[in-house]
Formats: sequence, structure tokens, C-alpha cells
Amino acid sequence: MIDMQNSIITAVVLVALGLVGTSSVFVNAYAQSERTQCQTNALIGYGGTIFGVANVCTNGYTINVDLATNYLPKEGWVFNAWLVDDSYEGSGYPLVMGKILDSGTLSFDEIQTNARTWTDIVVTQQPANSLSPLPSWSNSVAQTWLIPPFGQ
Amino acid sequence: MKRSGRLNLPIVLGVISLLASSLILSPILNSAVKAQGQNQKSPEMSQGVQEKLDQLAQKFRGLVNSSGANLSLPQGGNLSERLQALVDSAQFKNLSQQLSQQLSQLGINGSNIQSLKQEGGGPDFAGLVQKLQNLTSSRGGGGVQ
Repeated sequence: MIDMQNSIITAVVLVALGLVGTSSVFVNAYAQSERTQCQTNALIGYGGTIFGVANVCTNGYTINVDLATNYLPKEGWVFNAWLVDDSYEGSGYPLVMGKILDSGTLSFDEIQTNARTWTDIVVTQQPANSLSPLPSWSNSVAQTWLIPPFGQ
Repeated sequence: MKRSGRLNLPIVLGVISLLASSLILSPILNSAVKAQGQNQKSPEMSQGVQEKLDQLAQKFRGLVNSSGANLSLPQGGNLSERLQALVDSAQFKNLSQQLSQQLSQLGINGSNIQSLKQEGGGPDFAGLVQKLQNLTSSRGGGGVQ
């Protein structure tokens, strides 16, 4: 009798663990099910010149950004690149993608709940020793506007 | 002996449940702690910066819209030629003029970027595109021709 009880309980536990495991597999499979779409955008300097180019890809959940520029920041400063969310005309939430390297390049990859919410890429120039995690908006130097599937 | 077997079973089940739940919850808890660590800034300051950046982004988009310039380059073909075509277009010239005039009203000095140096001393679209293609090909991704 006890052996039978043990078998039933073991089976239930195994089924439960199996369900937990397979559900995460299904979530990943769903996240990868949308077609990846890429766009190459010109980053426009606020002075009216081409600051650089950015290749941006998403399948709705992943976002991959490759960015290149020939511009050099002034001495003691660095360029930071930000994703800006203005999907609902008011959020304006900026997510830092990081510093543009001395080579003038930046690569950013992330898996997000909704990567399509981003509308713009903004490049700011900030003091290299700045500890602030916020964008120095008044030192913004360039921007590009992402087309759909972004902005949704 | 039977009694001891009965007592052991709930303990074993409890241990298995604890292990399973800790495995499931640990990534969730980790990401929650990380997210909190990344957002330690006064709400007023964050709000103000977001509003300013938002105004700037909206203004930029308005100017791009009214100029008719298309910042998204068509896929395929020679990208540096496409960049040159964009720069030579009447829409881009219109956008360039508008940007420096209009953004100064938001406190952005367009001449900031004009004082910056460029590798090679001037615009080099072929070099710029090559740099981007090197990045993209290193991840094995598409999008840039």
C-alpha cells in the first residue's frame, strides 16, 4: 500500500516538474517564432550632418543594434547611445545601450518583453568620468527615428 | 520500520519541492534585484531628464516628418551610395537647415557636433559603412548589404 502511494506521489512530482520544464521551452519557442526584421538607419547629427549609421534588428522580443560613427568625442568625453521609448507620446524612457567604443562602434543585444516599443536612438556626449546613469540630454548630438515594427 | 518510512516520504517530497521552487524562482529574483539596482536615482531628476529627452525626440521626429526625409536606408545595393543620395536630397538639406534652427530653441547647440573631429578629417561614407558591415558580419546577422 505504501509502495503504491509512493509511486503515485513520485509520478505526480515528476509530471509537475516536467510541466514546469516544458512551459519554459514553449515560452522560448514562442519568443523566437516571429520573423526577425532589420533596418539600417542614418543617424543624423543635430548640426544637420550624417553622424553615423545603425543596423537594428528585432523579432519582437530580441533587439540587436550595431552602430558605427566616424565622429570622435571631445577630449575627456564619451558618446553614449540610448534607446528612447516614445510609443505613447509621453513615456520618453531612455535605456542606455552603452558607450560607443574608441573604434567608433557599439553592439547591443538584449531579450526584452516588448522590444518594439522603442522609437528612437539618441546619441549623447557625456563626461567620461560622469557617474550619472541619466542621459545628458542637452549634450545630445545625433538621433535616428526607427520605423515599424518599432514604435508599437 | 513502516512508521519511519511514512515519516520520511513527506520530508523527501518537501526537499524536492524546495529545490524545484528555488530553481524556478532564482532567475526571477535575480532580475528583480538587478532592475532595482539600475534605477537608483531621484524620481524628480529622472522625470525631468525624460521630459527633456522626450521633447527633443518629438521635435526631431516632427522635423523629419515635415522635411519628408527618409532616414531608413533601403536594404540591398551599395549603402554608402544610398547615404550619399540621402545627403544630396532636397529633403535632407531642408532637414539640416531646420535642425540647427529649431533645436536651439530646446537648448541644443547644433554647432556642438560641428566642432567635433572625424576620423580621416572629413566625411567618409565608404569607411563608415565598412565599419558597420564588419560589426554585423561578426555576429553573422543580416540587414546590411
